[in-house]
Amino acid sequence: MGGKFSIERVNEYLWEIPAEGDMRVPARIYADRNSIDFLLEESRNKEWNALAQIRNVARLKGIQMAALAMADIHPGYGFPIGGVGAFDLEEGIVTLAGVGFDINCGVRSMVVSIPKGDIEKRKEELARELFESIPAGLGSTGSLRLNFDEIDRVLTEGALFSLKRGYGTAEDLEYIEEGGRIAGANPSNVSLHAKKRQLKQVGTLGSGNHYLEVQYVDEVFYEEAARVFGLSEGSVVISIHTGSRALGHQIGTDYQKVLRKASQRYDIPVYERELVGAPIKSQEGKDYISAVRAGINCGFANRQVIAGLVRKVFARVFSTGENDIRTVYEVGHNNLKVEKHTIDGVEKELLVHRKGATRAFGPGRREVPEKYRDVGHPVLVGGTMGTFSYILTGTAKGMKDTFGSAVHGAGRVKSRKQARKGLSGEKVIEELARKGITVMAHSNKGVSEEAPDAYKDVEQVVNIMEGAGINRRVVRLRPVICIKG
Amino acid sequence: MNRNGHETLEHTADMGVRGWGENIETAFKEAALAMIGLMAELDRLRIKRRIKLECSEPELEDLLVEFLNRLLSQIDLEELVCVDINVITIERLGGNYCLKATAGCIKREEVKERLLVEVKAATYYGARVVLLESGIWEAVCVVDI
Repeated sequence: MGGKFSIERVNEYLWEIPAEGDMRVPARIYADRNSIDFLLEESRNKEWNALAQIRNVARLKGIQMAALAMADIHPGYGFPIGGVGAFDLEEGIVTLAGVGFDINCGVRSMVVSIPKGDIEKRKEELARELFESIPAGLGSTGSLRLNFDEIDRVLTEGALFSLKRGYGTAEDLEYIEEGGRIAGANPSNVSLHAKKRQLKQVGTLGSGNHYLEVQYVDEVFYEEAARVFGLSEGSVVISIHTGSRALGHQIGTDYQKVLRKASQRYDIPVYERELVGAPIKSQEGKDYISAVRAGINCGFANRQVIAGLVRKVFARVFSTGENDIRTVYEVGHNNLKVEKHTIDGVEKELLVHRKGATRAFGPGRREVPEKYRDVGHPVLVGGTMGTFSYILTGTAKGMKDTFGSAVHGAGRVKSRKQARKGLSGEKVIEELARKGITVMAHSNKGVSEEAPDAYKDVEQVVNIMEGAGINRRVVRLRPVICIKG
Repeated sequence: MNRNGHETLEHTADMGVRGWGENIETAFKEAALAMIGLMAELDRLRIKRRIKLECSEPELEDLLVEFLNRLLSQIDLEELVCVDINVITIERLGGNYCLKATAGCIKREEVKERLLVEVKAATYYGARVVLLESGIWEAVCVVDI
């Protein structure tokens, strides 16, 4: 259980657990009164609770400034989901819990230059075509069949690999973080087993909370940024939410063991079994980081293939050309990144873990594509099935206070088990159909686990981040079609 | 409570699995059944082939997590759904616990409509393997979905 600790209200949207005992830095939680009450209640009653987890992150060696929890905070394993932890490259550690098992899980959003009305007219047909063309669901396999040499290229080239295979456009790559290809990936630090599992899985959506949605912009909040991103009211957007599939899962599983041993070897206290790690400078640390980067590239390649498949479906249904579908941005939310940040006026390089948290670099950062540099890159926040999604931006305050981070989704409040006790999958699908949302899923039970009421209201989560001045709403997206695993 | 059995446990984002039984082998088997029950509706499925699993680890918790992960990756590689588990032995050999098991499986493509969600991995989070006062063994961990 959580044990006793104090928590202070910094302002309406920010709470702080001061650095007490062996906490090296404070823990800061973006929350309103309601959500902090929920979290406190959970910390009193539940073995698995998010506040205990964020306090543990604050105890890790080399952590800088504060352990942070975005407004979608909920219990994970070791790190809470919504957790951000930045570590000194000399003193700090890298931890598996800060990345998790779905490395570079993230969202790609693309804008389509056809009117919303056309989508509405052929909605059922489009939904069926997407459902049949995008491999999804447990253990689904894609049309790409790779050999081991090709998988190694996926792990070093990322989205470029998929582009060379004819998926998507060269322009896509400019609008993926890291250009769709992160440097420093070393496929030889990824097990043969992990690669073997991925040979047929590049270009697959997966299951759980992964989805593909056709949405439209139903409200614009920040005109200038929306214009820069090429969005206006009624714009049709396609969003793809998936990650690095079996390869990422196996990297996590393999390094779970490596890092457990490393924790013992380097005398790193393990506050929770999953919160294992290694010094960033150690061989184990370097190996893990290079393996995560390979996983990141796999996630990029995967979404690029799906983006290509989506374009083909639209070409069949609407006769659109490749350039009628333009990537707005792609950004991950289970990641490790070396980034420069300024703490107390001193700029330094840090290893930033974001577990269920999105990078949200604000205006001026060189990592932001040139076209977006005056407003910051788009931050893609998935809502729950059938509720709104948002595109946000980061802010200068967010750069200073959160290492440029944002929420990644709504944040679960109900366990999968509780959710299943609610509406059946069929009922959820019926209800959403009444709201004009066509849901097609490979598993109806999966749909009931992902029912909208299993999550916090995405509005509330976004409100908190905007109220705190960390993120800013650009547009709200309403789904029309939702394809689930 | 039955002397043998399994259940899933509340965990907000993911899912806990808990198996129990009169011996440690049964507890492991039941925990695995809880996990595979998340992945497919298992009732009335006929086993078409058996795969073998062997692993060894210094601690029982490690063995549980390793066993579940081996099972996940094996069935993923061979595109199977696991229907039944038989944990044959868990023995202490030369400082390690060694597990031998078989899993009864069926090809995924034969039971597409029965598939539920993917389990990404078994984690050490909340992992415990203990002999309760009642003489019942219990095996618990959280799996990432």
